[in-house]
Parts: sequence; C-alpha cells; structure tokens
Amino acid sequence: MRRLLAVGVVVVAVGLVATVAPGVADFVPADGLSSLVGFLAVLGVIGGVTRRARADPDTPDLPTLETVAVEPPGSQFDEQVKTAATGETRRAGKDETAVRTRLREAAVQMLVREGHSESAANEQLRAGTWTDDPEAASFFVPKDSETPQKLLAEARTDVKGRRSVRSLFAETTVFERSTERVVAVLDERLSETAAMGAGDVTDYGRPERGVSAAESERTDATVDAAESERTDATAGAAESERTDATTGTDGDERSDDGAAEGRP
Amino acid sequence: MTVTADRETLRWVGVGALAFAGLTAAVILDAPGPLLVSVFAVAAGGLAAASRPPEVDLAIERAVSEQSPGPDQRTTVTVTVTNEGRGPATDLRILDGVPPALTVETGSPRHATALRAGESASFQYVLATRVGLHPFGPTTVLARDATGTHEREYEQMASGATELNVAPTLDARTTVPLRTQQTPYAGARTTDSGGSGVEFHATRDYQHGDPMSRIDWKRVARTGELTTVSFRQERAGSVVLVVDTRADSHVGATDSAVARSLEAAATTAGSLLDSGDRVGVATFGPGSAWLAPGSGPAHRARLREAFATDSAFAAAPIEDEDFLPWLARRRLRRRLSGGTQLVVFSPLLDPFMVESIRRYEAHGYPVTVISPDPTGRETTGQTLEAVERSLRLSRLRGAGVRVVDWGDEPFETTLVGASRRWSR
Repeated sequence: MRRLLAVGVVVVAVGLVATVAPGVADFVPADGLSSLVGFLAVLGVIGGVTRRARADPDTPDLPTLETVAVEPPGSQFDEQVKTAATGETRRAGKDETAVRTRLREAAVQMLVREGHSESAANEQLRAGTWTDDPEAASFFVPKDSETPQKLLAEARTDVKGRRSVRSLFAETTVFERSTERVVAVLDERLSETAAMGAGDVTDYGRPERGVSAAESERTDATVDAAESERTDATAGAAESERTDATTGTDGDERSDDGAAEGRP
Repeated sequence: MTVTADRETLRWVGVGALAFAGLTAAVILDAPGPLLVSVFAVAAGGLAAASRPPEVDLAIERAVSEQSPGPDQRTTVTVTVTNEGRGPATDLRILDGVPPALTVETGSPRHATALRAGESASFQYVLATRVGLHPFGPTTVLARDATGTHEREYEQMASGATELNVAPTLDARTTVPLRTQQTPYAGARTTDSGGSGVEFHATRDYQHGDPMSRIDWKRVARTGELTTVSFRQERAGSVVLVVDTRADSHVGATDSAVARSLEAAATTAGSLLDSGDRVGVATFGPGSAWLAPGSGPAHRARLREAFATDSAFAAAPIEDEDFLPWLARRRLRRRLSGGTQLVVFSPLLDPFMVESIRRYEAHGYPVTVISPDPTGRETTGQTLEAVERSLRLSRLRGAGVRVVDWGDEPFETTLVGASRRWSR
C-alpha cells in the first residue's frame, strides 16, 4: 500500500514538472504507453464498478421514538428455534432442548386443561396420539423409542417425504416446520376449548365446568389410553414374531393395520 | 458520552471508476478534455480516503413545558443542541430519547443540522402524557464528517429535564369488584357474615339481647315464634394493588403492559378510595415500592406522589442485577397484614408470577388478577407466548383466583364485562 502511494506521488510529481518543462517527460515512449494506460484504465473502471455494486453499508439500528417502544414477547423462542435449526454447535443443542421442553410443557398443560391427567398427557405425547396433525404428533416422540408405533412410522415417513418437496420452495428446515405446526395445533386447540366454554366457566374458581363435557373428555382419555396400550401390545408381539429382513414390506402393512386400529 | 459505533457509509466507494473512465475516454479519443473529469474524481476519492470519524463535542439540553403534567395532556419538549467543539460539526442527526411508554403527538424528536463552533440549534415535539414516572432515554447522535465517508454514532444523556412525573387524578370513573373479605372498618363492601346492614343475610332463633328492630314481627304474628333477621355486614375492604414492573413485563403488541398496568392501578386506586376502602400500592420488580393500605386525603396525596415520583413506578425497564424475584415475593408477603386482599396487575408472562399469586391466595390473601394482554400472533414464538399465557390464566382460574383478561379495549369496558360475569 505504502509502495503504491510512493509510486503515485512520484508519477504525479513527474507529471507536474512535465507541465512546466515538457522536456522532462521525453524518456516516456509516447505510443506504447497510451495503449497500456488505456488498458489499465478499463480494468480500473471495471474494478471500481464492482466495488460499488458490492458495497454493503452497515446502517445504524435506531430506536423507535414516535410510538410506544415495545414489541410482543416471543422473539427469544424464535431465535432459539433458528439457532437450533441451523447450527451444529453446542449452543444449538442447548436451544433445541429448551425449545422441546417448552413446547412439551405447553402441550401437557393443554391436555391437562382438556381434562386428561398429567401422566396420560405425557403418554399421549410420547405415543404421538395427541393430535391428528402428523408433523405435530411426531414432534414429541422419542427418536430411539423401543416401541415404534405404526402410526408414528407412517407419520415420520410422511414428514420426510414432505420435507424434500417443501425444501425446494421454502427455506425452513424440518425442525422449524414442526415447531410451527405444534404451536399452530396448540393455538387451534385453545380457541376450540375457549369456544366450548372451558376457558370462561372456571372464572372465580366455581367448579361450573359442564359435567357432560368433562365426562366425555374423560372417557375419551381412557379410551385413548386403552387404545394405545393395545396397539403397543400388538406391535410388540408382531415385532417379536417377524424377522428383520421382512420389515421393509411388512412394515407398511403393519402401519396400515395400526392406523385402522388406532383411529376410532 | 458513549460511542456506539464508528462506521463507514461507503458513499465514495467506486469513485475510482469515474477517474479511470475519464482516463479511458482521454486515451481513446486522444483528447485531454475528459482527463479533467478524472481530476475531480481523484480529488474526491483522496479526500474520502483521508477523512477520519468526526470528533464532535455537543451540549444537549432538554426542557419540558411542564415537569408534572396531569394524565392525558400535552407536554412540549424543547431540545437545544450546542456545538462546544473547536471545529464545525458538518452533519448531525439527533434523535432524542423519548420515554418508551409515551407517544409523540406533533413535531418530531428527530433533527438534522450542521453547526459551526459555538452555534446552537433547537427543535420541539409534543408528547401525550399518561400516568407514571417517565424517564427520558439517552439522546442518540449520528455525526458525519465533511465528505460523509465516516459516521460516528453515540449516545449522550441530555441535561435539564430527565423525566416526566405524571400523577394520576384518582377520580373514580368506574367501580372495581373486589373479593369478599372482612376488615374491622365500616365501609361499602358486603361481607358473608351477618349483622346489621341492608342486604338480607339469614334468619335465626331469637337470642336474649337481640335488638327489637331486627325481630321478624310478621313471623311472630303468624306463628308466635321469635326469630331474628340478620343482614350482610358492610365493611371496608383493605386492598394492596401490586404492579408487576419486572423488566420482562415491558412488552406489548402496541402498548407497554407495564404502562397499561400503571394506568389501570391508578383507576382502581381512585375508585376504591372513593368507595371508602383502604388502598395500598406495591410494585413487584426492581425497587419494590410499598405504601401500606390507608384512606383519607393525606393518603390520597401520598398515592398520587408515589405513582409520579417513585422510581419503582417507572414506565421503562430498570436495569437491576440485584433484583431477586423470590425475595420480592417474600418481602411483599411479610408486609401484608391479615384480611388484606391483593389486586395484581401483570401480563402473566412467566410461571413464577402464577406461582406467586397461588401462594398469596393460599396464605389467605384473596387475589384478583388484572392481566393486560401483551401478546401478538405474528411469529411462532409470539403465538406460543399467547397460548402459554392463556393456559396460565385458566390454571389461575382453576385455583380459585379471579382473573380479568384485558385485551385492547379500555380498562373500564373490561371491568364492566368482568363484574357482570362475577355478579351472576
């Protein structure tokens, strides 16, 4: 840089002297130099234009002044999901755990509010039977589960299939998609129960909750639990009978059976 | 003065292209004329390369037309900027630190100017006031050098007015429903125990010493039995209004939950004082303000002063590393006396607040929660917060706590709806 500056200064000085006494510049060959300078100048133009085009100024991040300077809560969760989805770092792992814990907590609370017990709610989440939405359902299913449900197997292949198509169009990863789906399902369930009146009736603690509604929910829960147990048992039995080699084709059949059984 | 950033605007990047273009034209056309264009481009590029981030020295002074205006009024803020440096400040953009919970009505808190040494400029804007202590933030200055190549961003605290103190009027416009409770003071709240009063409570066998006026004489005439009628006793409530002012509660879709809570608390305090109840205030957050329940004109004045001047009531987040929520919870419980009930103003954004409320309720302090809804539904995270908050609300209701979910509508409207539901 410094050398370039020195060359520049010398050239400019020679030029200035040459304007006063033209004889000084006689050592410069007139013909060849002008085409060389012209060539260099074209390169210079291209270089300058590219630098201009690539210039990405760092603009200041200024505060909101005219209106109330607040934003709704939730940016922390969005950031955690983004880090968890993109990075392979230790931090990404930590964030993923945080996101999963928080969603699980919310889902359990939702099921408890709908009248299930906490353990039944956890069981439903693990079994993936808590919702009809395949992506949301598979979110809480442990990856290394000993008893892979047929419904789940189906759901998971479904998710994978969708991913490849979706990823062509969207910039979202499977993790981002499925957190989005879980939250959307929870939101839907919330407005459903609110419409049913479950949100309002417990105002000031009077146990006014519609008895019939509670009853039906409870029976639903027990039916679900029984159902999942049954599918568990049959799945286990089926697993032990079949050999690994046949799982490829038989797996599909089984998943169909399971779906027929699992869905009342 | 803290420099936030020195950055390059990249305004002159690529000016070399112009210089070389002139040179190219001169070579191709074999004419010296276009070479002159290059001279200007080279000069501009050289100046830009030689420039440095500007060192500016400004004195910023802020004046307000009224330091302690009433709520829902207008206050004019005048900011005067003086260049105290030796050289000229060639390009200044000034953004005044408007209190976060206030809105600008007219004028602009932004100003762009250039100042010679010793010269000063001023600008004005009008703020709409609302209840609470509103600290002004630091003023942001963006200074550029003469060529505009370098920009320095820094923050400076203005001298003069640093806060607005808006005291509530405490004139009641609404009635706030309270939970039933008992204090030894006469008042307007009906209780569940029998005695003298207006509303019928129960009848019982006559006991020696009951006043003659309370004997049910019609029944004596009909059956010959002496029975005594008792009425619901009317007592004054003793209420502590607790405002959640923790840093995490300064959120909202369009308005700050804390600022709304403060306004609602002021309305509640006024209405309760008017109905003869004893009112105290406390904040749950850094500073932990506390004013024990009381009544009367002197107490009214103390309440107004607390809202306007106690820094714990600031409608802007206070940075405090030493704030321990569990300690605040315990301290508040120790301050409460028996028979007191709580009205908690909180957006309910964390399980801790729910747990605290349940504990107060379990310790025998009936709690009413007024929860301004700060959640939005733009992103997944925001929706999740909304869902979680709804779940918290229903858990609290399940625990026997009265909860008012306060959406975007005015506080009074919400209260009318809530009281109608509760009186059923």
